[in-house]
Formats: sequence, C-alpha cells, structure tokens
Amino acid sequence: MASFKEINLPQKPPMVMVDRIVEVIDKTTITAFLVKDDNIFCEDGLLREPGLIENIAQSAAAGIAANPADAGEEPKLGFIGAIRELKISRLPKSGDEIITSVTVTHEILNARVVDGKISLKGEQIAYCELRIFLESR
Amino acid sequence: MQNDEIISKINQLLVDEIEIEEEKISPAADLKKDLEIDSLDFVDLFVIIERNFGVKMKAEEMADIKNLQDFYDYIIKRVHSN
Repeated sequence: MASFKEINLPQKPPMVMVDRIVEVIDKTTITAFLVKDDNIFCEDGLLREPGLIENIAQSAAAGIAANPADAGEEPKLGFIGAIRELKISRLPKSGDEIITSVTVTHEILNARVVDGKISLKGEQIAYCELRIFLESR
Repeated sequence: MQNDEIISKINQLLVDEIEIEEEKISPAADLKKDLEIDSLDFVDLFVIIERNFGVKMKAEEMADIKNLQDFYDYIIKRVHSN
C-alpha cells in the first residue's frame, strides 16, 4: 500500500481531471477530484459524461504511472480504445469531490482493461470498463 | 464441459460479443484475415474468455494461434487443465 500526493500525468491543464492519488493498493488506484465550475467538461454546473469518463481514464493513467517499475519515467501516453458497460446514475455538481477507484483487471501486451467506479459521498454514481492502449517506447 | 460444448460456446461468443458474422465461422478461418479480429477484439476476447471459461489467456501464447481451430484447441486445453 502506498499514498501519494502528487500525480504524474501526460495531460496538462485544462485537461487534468485528477487532483490527487488517495491510495494505490496492488492494481487498484483511488483518486480524488474536485469539480469546479470552470472545468472544461462542466455545463450548467454539472460535470458531464465525457468528464466522468476522462476522470476514470486519467485515474488509471495516474495509477499506471505510480507503478514503482515506472518511477522517474515520463508518463506513457494512453489512448481509450473502447468504453464498455457505461452506467451513470447522476452527474456531480460544481463543488463536489468525486472519488474514483480504478482496477486494472487485464494487462495484455500494451493494452489494459480497467474497471472504473466513481463515487460521490459514498454513493457510486458512475461505472465503466475501459480498454486503454499505452504507447510503446 | 465437453469439447463440443466449449466450441459451441466460443462460436456463440464470437457472434454475440465480437460481432463476427456467423457464416464466416469455420475451424479453418484465419482470425485476422477471415474473421477480421483486430487488437481491440483480442482485448475483448481475453476478457470474455476469462468470464465464460475461467481461463486467463496469456498474450505470449497467442502468437501461435492463427486460425479458429488453433483457438479452440488452446481454450479446450486450458479449460481441461484448470
């Protein structure tokens, strides 16, 4: 188990959708993100669906970059290949802090299958599986 | 699970989950050329096979799998070795 305050992502503002890593346990990474009104994916004070998916993808990227094997390396670029089983029950609003848990369920060469769940105040509000392809070095 | 049941289940999954046309499915069908299975489909196959057969496929073992018969043989072997 490890805790981290800083994240290592290839994205730059305003595309950064993760504030901090709360915890990394084996293949599971938990992140936190405060929704702000000026977020690029916010509309009418709500973080929209693409923002939730991006948050899950970046949480997965942050977890992969936090792997000790990649310590000190530039973060790898990842590309979302597919989104499966997407379920969103509600959208977080500006001022909400969402907690995202991502688990890498499969590693197939440069591909990762990721289960992602977003919670708000303990209630799961979004779920999806992502297929992410990492750039080769 | 009997071998013919495994083969039937694989065929059904290819049609239902990977959206391969049923008439293209034959033991000699080349996975890439005939069934047009791409890298994303392969990732889906790994997940689908594990969920349905409890078999965790290994990427390095897929290099020798060219056609559907090879794939049947691989899954049958792994199912029976579990």
